Amino acid sequence: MSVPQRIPADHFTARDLVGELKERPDALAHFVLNVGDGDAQVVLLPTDPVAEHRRAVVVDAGRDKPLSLIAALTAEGLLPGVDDVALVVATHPHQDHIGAMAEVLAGLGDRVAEFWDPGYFHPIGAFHRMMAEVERRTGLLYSHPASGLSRWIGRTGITVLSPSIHLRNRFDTYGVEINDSSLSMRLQHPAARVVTRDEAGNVVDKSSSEVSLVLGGDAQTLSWSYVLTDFPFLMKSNSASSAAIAAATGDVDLLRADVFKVSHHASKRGVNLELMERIRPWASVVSCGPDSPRYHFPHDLAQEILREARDPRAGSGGQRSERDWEVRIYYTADRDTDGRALGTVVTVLEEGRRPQVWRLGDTPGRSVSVAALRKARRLDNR
Amino acid sequence: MSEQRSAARGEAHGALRLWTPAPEGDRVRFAPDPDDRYAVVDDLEAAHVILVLDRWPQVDGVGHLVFTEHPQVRSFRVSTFQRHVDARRAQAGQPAPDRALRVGDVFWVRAGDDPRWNDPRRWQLLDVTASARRAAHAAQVVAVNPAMRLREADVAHESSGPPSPEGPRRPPAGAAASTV
Repeated sequence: MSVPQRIPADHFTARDLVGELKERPDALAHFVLNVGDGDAQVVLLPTDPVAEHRRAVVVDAGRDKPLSLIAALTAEGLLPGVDDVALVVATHPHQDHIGAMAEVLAGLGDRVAEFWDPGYFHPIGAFHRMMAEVERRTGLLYSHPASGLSRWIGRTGITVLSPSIHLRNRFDTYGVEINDSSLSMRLQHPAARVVTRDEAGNVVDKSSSEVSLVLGGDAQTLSWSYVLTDFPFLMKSNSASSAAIAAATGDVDLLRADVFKVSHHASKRGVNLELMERIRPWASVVSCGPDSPRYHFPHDLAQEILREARDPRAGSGGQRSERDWEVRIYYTADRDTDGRALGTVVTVLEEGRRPQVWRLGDTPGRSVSVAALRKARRLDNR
Repeated sequence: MSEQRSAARGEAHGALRLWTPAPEGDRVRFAPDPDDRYAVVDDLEAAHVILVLDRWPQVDGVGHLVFTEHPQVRSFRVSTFQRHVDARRAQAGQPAPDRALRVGDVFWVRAGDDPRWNDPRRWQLLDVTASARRAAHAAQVVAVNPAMRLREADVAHESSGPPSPEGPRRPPAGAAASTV
């Protein structure tokens, strides 16, 4: 692994993230929480015009940090506190992803409408505790989605990219490596289905202004190979059929995303160059510990792939900078040049506006407080 | 879809007692203690095995394995742990003693003189993979359909009654293929 280069402290401005999100009800905020070696994410969806409030999606709970973030967002009025956690996802049953899932489900209680996991069983205690909590919560809708499932929450669309059904059908054996069971998803806002026609019935292509996330779980090469097959990029040509497809899909690569939560903490099998060239993210976010003695993440190979996708140099003989922040690769283990932990990575995305990156300055063992949101650090766009 | 989740489990889960699976083996000597650990191969990354060490679970009146504390996580060299596992499986007369470690393998372990759980070579150890995987699978099936009882889900419930006259139940297909 190579330790991320420190980001210049003067690239940040102290700002109020709560105020920012209140002023921008149509903005989506994606939190990759700093839980060290593990994963925990929260997506704060834009305000639903029907429900007239925001909802949240929780993805993984290696630690119980999502609880403190949701409590802080609720205290500040960004979530109503009732019927506002549309979905909780356990991408796969590794300890570093579900270690505190039972506590998160119990802590959120009846606020949670729906729970997804890939349907892969794993005999660790955390899995039993998670299943017991799901069993107890009989009002919870519980599903094992596979690739291709689409779900809409307000105006936000979620498409399940993996696991492919090819892999799902082999789960009950040792035939699928646990990381390759991961649920990975693409979120888009506003979802194409609600914006493809205007009042006169004309097709309106707003897909180029939608904002999107790909959340990679711990999917590895095998799983991504099925994703690349299941979600082909139907490139524009002059044929009539191609024009029809383009009208239906917006001629957008179904894997493209503004933000990619890098799969498997940037392990050497978590990403490949073909995948990264399809996603073409504006920013990539890696969840990893500061020195990862247990897992040795991020891996040099994955870091080079992320850099090459953003700044192609391979074969040209050009020297590449390892200042990953210059090509918008961010790590929860990042520090600034003053040595301060930068912690949780927040990307704020809104249709038609330039994305923003914020940092909460938290360490893995500390919860997220209202103060951390109120005194967040916004990375200046350069 | 809501039908799937409509049947609430109304019964109390009953008193807890230590889970006592019946691992296969000709010379198995096995009496779990609350201080023992339930060690799961959570990941195999390069040359290292990641073990999640939960306190040995209890089982409730309907067969749920109950884990109440957060585990310790340890990383060891695969070769070191594999050698120790192979030796202990052979010692207990367990089938396929040299089977390569896989994610999802489960062991009963006792610390011996290694109270900090840092040196697996000093642990007493027994492979309980088949029973543990069956229990995890059953927990999932029952969570999907709370109307189903654990026995209906063909759960490991070995400590709840006398041994079956047919001998040990077969584990699910995948586990059986790899562990027996």
